[in-house]
Amino acid sequence: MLCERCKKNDATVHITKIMNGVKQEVKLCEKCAKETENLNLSFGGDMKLPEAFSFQNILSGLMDYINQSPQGTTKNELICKNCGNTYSEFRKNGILGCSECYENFNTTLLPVIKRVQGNFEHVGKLPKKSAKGIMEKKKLLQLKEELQRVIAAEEYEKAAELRDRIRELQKGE
Amino acid sequence: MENWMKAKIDENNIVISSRIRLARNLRTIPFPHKLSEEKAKEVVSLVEDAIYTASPMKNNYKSIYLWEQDDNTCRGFIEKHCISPKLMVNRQKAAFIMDNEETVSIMVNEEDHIRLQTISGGLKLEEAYDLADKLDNLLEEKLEYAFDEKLGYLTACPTNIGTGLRASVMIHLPALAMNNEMDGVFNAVTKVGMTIRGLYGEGSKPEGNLFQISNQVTLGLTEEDIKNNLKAVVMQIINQENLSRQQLINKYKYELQDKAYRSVGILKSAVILDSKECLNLLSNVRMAVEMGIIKDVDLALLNNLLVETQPATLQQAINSKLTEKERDFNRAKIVREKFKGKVF
Repeated sequence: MLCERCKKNDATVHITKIMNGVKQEVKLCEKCAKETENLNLSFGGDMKLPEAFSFQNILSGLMDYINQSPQGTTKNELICKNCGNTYSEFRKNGILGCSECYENFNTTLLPVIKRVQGNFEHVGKLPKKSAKGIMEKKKLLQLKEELQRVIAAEEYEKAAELRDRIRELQKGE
Repeated sequence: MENWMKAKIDENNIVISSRIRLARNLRTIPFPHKLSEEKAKEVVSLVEDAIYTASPMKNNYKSIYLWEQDDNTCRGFIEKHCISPKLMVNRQKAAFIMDNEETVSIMVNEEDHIRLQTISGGLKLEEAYDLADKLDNLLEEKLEYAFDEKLGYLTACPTNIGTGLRASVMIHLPALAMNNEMDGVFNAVTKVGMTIRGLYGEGSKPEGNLFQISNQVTLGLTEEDIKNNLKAVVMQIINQENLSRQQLINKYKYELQDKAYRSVGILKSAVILDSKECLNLLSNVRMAVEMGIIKDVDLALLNNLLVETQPATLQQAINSKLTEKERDFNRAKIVREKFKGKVF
């Protein structure tokens, strides 16, 4: 008899498994038996992890856990004004509808982001055009901090220089 | 930048390729899954307008609309890592813009409006990032990106917000796999906010001892941090792998040689080769080349075979649809031809 898995070699190993009362028999060659043993339970290597176990599942589980309101369930369904996406849709597939969803779902979304990312604040690249204002603001903040530092260190020459640069930036606003 | 399939790779480097991916979206326009085919195609045109600005871009880049391509062609692009499987799922809405060298791919209407990807051979995250960064700046000149002061670049899935950057490295770890140490690697890597997966990304099984390591956290770190962290982790894993290899060669020198030459023997003469066996044999040969057991084999040849022996690419080369059996036959044939005349 040929091995049921590779259909090349003689089947020398007979495995009988009884799972939940269902009997399953396989006849394999030595090589395939070894391989399937490595794969633990899968017969013929065709067992796949069910799709159900995905990031989305974990995320929505997390969301349920985080957003349990003290009174129990939330009654009002959140809807994004821009794209019409609902919060329960997001809960289901883990994907938002548009950039405005972040604003519209803000209160429930932020704790989720905090959980997933462990962080709140973007510190990376700023797009030149859409973050022009933000960049200047950050630069200003940085300069002011620097100014405090040099004043504390009594480096007044540097302080004057920084003060001028801050003035210039503020003029531009 | 050199295409990873052709790049001349340093034998001491067990990293096959480095990839950078930036996720970007257009402001207020619903994300791809919420767009009709018609609206989605408008997004494609917007991105095209932004990219084809100057003549060097027009000459070196081209658009490929997935809705015009057949199944097999799409799968071929996935096998070459030019596009993600997810882009093919959205094929009625999706397109990508690729350079002639096939190192850059700007995917439009994947999970996000734009997924900008660059791949370089070897461990060259910086080089790949610099190019991606430049293209990102070019796109932003004409497009209105969705960006939030606090949350950074906004993406369809909250796992990508902030930098929108996923940096990943494809690495060959046969000795760690042989010594059953991959579980340990997996645990260590996840603890520092990174993931490790199979050759074709999310959900794919590791075949041929090839793994992809990438950052998981995208918010609250600078691009520099993300790259450096990944690099540090990868260097550490390379170290472990090399130690494992050293142990192997000390203890099992002849067994290793035997394994390598037997693998070469099968690759040189097999008439039927299934995909899994082929990847595993190629991994054995690759390790032997990397360890200096086998000389005169170019790692680029092995990289090339990695893609050419994949089902869709095989069928493209022959230009006809093949059954599984025919594929196994043709795969063996291609491998035999590539190894022909090589004396080891």
